[in-house]
Amino acid sequence: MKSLFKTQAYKTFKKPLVEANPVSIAILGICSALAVTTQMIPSIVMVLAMTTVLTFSNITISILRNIIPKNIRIIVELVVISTLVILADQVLKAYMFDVSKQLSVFVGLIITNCIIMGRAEAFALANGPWLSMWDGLGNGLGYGYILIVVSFFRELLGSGNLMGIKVIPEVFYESGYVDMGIMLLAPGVFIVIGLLVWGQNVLTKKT
Amino acid sequence: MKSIQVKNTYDLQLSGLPDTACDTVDETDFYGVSPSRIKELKAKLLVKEGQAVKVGSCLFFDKKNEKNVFLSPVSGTVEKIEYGDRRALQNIVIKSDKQFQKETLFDKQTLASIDKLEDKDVADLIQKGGLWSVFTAYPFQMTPNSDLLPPAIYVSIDSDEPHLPQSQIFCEGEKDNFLAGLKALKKMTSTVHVGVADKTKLKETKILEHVTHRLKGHYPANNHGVFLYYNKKDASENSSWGVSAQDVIRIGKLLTEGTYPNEKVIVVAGALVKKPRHLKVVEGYPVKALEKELTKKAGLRVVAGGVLTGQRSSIDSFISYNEYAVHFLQEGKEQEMFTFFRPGFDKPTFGRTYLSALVKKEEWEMNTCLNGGHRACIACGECPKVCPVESHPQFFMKDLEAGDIEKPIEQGFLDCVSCGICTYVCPSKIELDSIFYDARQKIAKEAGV
Amino acid sequence: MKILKDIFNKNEHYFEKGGKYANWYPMYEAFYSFLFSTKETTKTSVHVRDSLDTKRYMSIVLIALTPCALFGIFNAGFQAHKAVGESLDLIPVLLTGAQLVLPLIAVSYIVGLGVEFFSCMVRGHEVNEGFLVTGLLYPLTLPATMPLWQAAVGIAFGVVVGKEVFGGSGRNFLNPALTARAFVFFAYPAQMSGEVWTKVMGAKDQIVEGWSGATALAVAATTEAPQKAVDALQDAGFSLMDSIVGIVPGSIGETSVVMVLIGAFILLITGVGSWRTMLGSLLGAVSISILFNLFSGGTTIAFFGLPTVWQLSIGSYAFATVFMATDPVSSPGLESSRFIYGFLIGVLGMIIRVTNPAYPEGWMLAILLMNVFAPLIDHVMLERKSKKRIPNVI
Repeated sequence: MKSLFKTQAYKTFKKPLVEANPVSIAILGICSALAVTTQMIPSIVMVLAMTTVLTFSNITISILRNIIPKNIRIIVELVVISTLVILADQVLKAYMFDVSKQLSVFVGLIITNCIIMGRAEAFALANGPWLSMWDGLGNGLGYGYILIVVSFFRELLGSGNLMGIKVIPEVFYESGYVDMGIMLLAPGVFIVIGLLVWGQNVLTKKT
Repeated sequence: MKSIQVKNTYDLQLSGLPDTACDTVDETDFYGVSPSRIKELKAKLLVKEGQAVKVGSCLFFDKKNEKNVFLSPVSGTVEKIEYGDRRALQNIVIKSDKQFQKETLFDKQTLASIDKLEDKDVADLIQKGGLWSVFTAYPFQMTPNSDLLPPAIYVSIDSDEPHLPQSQIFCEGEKDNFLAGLKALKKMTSTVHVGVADKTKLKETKILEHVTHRLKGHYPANNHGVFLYYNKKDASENSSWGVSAQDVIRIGKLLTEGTYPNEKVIVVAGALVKKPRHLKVVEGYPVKALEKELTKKAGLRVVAGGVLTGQRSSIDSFISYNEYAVHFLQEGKEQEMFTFFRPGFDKPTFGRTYLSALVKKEEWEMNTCLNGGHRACIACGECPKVCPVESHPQFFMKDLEAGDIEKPIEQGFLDCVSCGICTYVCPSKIELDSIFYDARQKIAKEAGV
Repeated sequence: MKILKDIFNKNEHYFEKGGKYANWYPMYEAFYSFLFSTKETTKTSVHVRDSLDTKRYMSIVLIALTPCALFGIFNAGFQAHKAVGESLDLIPVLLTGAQLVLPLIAVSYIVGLGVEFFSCMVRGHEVNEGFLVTGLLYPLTLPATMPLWQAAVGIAFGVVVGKEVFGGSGRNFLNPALTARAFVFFAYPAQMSGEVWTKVMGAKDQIVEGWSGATALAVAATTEAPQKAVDALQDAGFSLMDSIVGIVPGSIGETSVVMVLIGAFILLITGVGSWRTMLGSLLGAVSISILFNLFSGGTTIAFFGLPTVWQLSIGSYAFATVFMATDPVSSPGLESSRFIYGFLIGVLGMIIRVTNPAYPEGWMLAILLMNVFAPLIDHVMLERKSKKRIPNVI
C-alpha cells in the first residue's frame, strides 16, 4: 500500500488536487465555474463530462504525441478535444436530457476550457499515456471539487436547496429568513472562489 | 544673494529655547569619546588602557577609510575602554591631566598659504586633523569617501532644529576661523553655497558677505540637504556635501592653529533643564556633569543632538564628535482617560484636530510619549504636507515594505534628508525615519558606496 | 479611574509576549488604549511625537457623524408615525426612532467588532480604530426596516472581505462600510430597494390615505416626459425644503442635507476630511446634472431635466460625498489625485442615478468603482510628479 503512494502515477494524480489546483491556484476554468454552479446537479454532471473529456484527451494526445507535427499540434489537439466533447454532449442528450438542457451551450464550450488545452500542451505532449491519464483525472477532479463546493454554497445560500431538494425548513422563511440573491449572480462565484483560495492559502501556509 | 522659499516646513515650537548666554563649564576628571555614536563607523582602536594621550593623539580610525582618523580631545591617560554588544567599541574614557597639551598636527596655515594648497592637500590636512566626518555626503548622508571631491559644498549657517546652537553665539569672535574654513572648502570644490536663515540673528558682516542664499521657512529649511534640493540645477549636483557653520569654524581653527580644535559651543535644553542655554565645552565632556542643571533626576530621556534627529543617549554618556546639543526630556507622561474625546487645549499638534489649534501659544512642552499606538498607514496625507523635499513618505513606506526599492528611488527617495518631521506628524506612529534609514543603507550597499 | 488603571497595569503581564493569554493581547490593547492614553514611548530618533493619533482622527469622524445619526433616529420615527397617522410630537417620534435605529447600530458594532477582534487575535495585530467609523457609517446607509440578521451578515461580510482579507484597516482598498452595504444590496434586494424605507407599524389598513413610502429618487426615476420631474415630485408630496431638511423617506442617515453639512463643516475645519474630494465630487455632480438638463429635451426620461439643486438634495448624494468618498484609506493618497477621484465619483454617481433604472441610487457603486481606480490615479499622478523632479538615481 505504501508503495502505491510513492508511484509516479499517484504523485501525478495528487498534485493537481490541492498543490497545483487548476482553479484555486492557477485560476483557470473560471468561466465555466461562473456559468454552471448555481445548482449542484448540473455542476456534478459538468464535472463528470469535463473529467472524462480531459482524461481521454490527455490519453489520446499522449499516444499521438510522437506523430503530431509540431507546427499544427494545436489544430490536432483541437480535433481530438472537440471529438470528445461532441461525444460527451451526445451522451448527455441521450441519457440526461433535462440536465443537458440546463447546461445548454456549456457542454459544447468545454472545448474552450483552458484546463484541457493547458494540460494537453503542458503535460500530455511530454509524457506517456499512463501518466497523462492520471494527470487528466487529477486535474478533472481538482477542478471538480472546487466546482462542487462552489455550487454547494451557491445553491444552499442562494436558493435554499441542495441537489434540487429544499433543505432550509419552511419555518426559517416564515420567521424572516431570506435567500441571498447575490449568490445566484456572477459576483457570488467570485466571492466564494476568492474565499476558497484564501482558505486554501491559509491552510497550506502559502500566504 | 538669492532667496529660497522652502515649502512644507513646520515650527514645532518646542519649549526650552536656549538662552543666548554662553557659559563655560567646570572641568571634570574624565572625558570620553564614543565611536558607537558616530553613524556608519566601524572603528579600529589605536590606543590601549593606561596609554598617555595628548589633545590630537589618534584614538581610532574608520576601517572603511584609514585616513579618516578620530583624535583625542583631552590630554591625559586612557582610563578605560568600554565595549558594547558584539564587542563594538562603545566608549574610550580618558582621565584628563587638565593641561590640554596639544599635539602639533601640521604647520600653521594662513589664508594665503591655504590659497596655495592643492585640493587634495586640503583634504589631507582635514583628515589629519580628524575633522573629516563633519562632512555629510549626499545622497546617502554618509561620511564622504576621500578620493572623490564633491561637485559642490553646502554650508548652512543657522540651524532651526529644536534646539541647536544659534549662529550669533558660536560665530562670536570666530570670523577669521570661519573665513579660513570657507577658503579651505573653496579649495576642495568649485562651488561653495552658503545659506543663512531668513531670520538669522547673526550680525557678523564679514561672514554675512560670503552668504549666497537666504533660506526662508521653518524647520528644516536650514538643513543643508534641503538647501541642496532647492538649489540644484541638474542631477550632477546630487552627490554634493553638506557641512554646518560651526564645523567650518572648526576646520578653520584646525588649519590656522595646526592643532585639534577640541572646544565647541553646545546647547543644553529641554523641559527638565532649569536654565536652557549655550555652553562652551570641550568635546567629550561627560553628560553626568550637567546633572546639576536639571530640575529632576529620574524618568528622563537624554537626547544627543536635536529632538528630531538626535540619538538616544544616557546620563553616563559624553558629548560626542558630531553633537552640538544635549536635551533632557520627560520620559513618557501621566496616562489620562479618554484622551481622544478631550478638547485638547494643551496638546501640541500639526493639524487642527485638537482645540489647541485655536490657542496661540508660544511654545509647547513635549515629552517622549508616543501619543498613540502603532497602526497601519491610513493614508491621512499628513506626511507629504510637511515633507520639505516635496516627496511622499507614505508611498515610499508602502513600496519599501513591499520590497520595492526602484520605485521610491524614481520618485525621489534619495532626496530625503532624514529630517524626521514625517515621523513626528504620523498619526499611525509609523517609524518612517528608521524605515528610510535602513532602506538608504541598503541602497548605498548595493550601489557600492 | 486610578483603580481601573492599576487593574490594567497589574494584569498586563498576562497579555504580553509569552504571557498566559498572549493571544488576547489585541483585545487587551484595544480596551486599555480606549480608556487610557498610551504609556509607550519613542525608541530612538524623533524623540517627540505629535499628539494626533488614529483614535483622535477617527473620533473626529464619529463626532461629525453624530448629527446625521441623531437626525436619522428622529426621521425614522417621524416617517413611521406619519405613515400610520400617529402623533408627530418629538418625544414619541424619537422613542420610535430609537427603537428602530439603535438595534441596527448595536448589531453593526457588536458583529463587526467581533469579527475584527477575532481576526486581530488570529493575526496578532492591534485593533484598528477605523472600525469605530465603519460600524456607525454602515447602519446609517440602511433602511430602518432592515432585518437585524441581514444587517449582521452584511457587516460581517464587509469587515472580512472589505478589509481583513487584505490585512486590516489601512491595507484595504475598498470602503468596508460600502462593501457591506453593496453586499446586502445585491444579496437581499427585496429588503434594500422599493418601498422599504419606512417601518409600517400595525396592519396595512392603518396606513394613512395618500401615503406612499417611495423615495424622491424613485418618483423622479419613474416619471416620464412630457411630465416634468419637479412637478411629479411635488405631486408626490416632496418639497425642496423637506428634502434639504431631511424629513423624507430614505436610508437612516442620508436624508438630511443640513446635518450632513454640519458634519462636513466639522470634517473640513479639523482637516480630517479632504476638501478636494468633496469639492471634486460637487463639481462633477453639478456639471453632469447641468449637462443632463441640456439634453433633457430629446429624451423621455424626465429625470434628465431635474434641476441641479434638486439633484443635490434628494437621495444620498451629500452623505456619500462627505462621509463615504472622503474615507482616506480607500481614497488616493495624493491630495492632487483626490480632486480627480472626487470629480469622477460625482460624474459616475450622477450618471448611474439618472440613466440606469435598475439602480435607484448611484453613489455606492460610483465610490466603490473609484476605490478600485484610486491606486491608478495615484500612479499616474506620481509619474507626473517624478518627471518634474531633478532625477536622483544611482
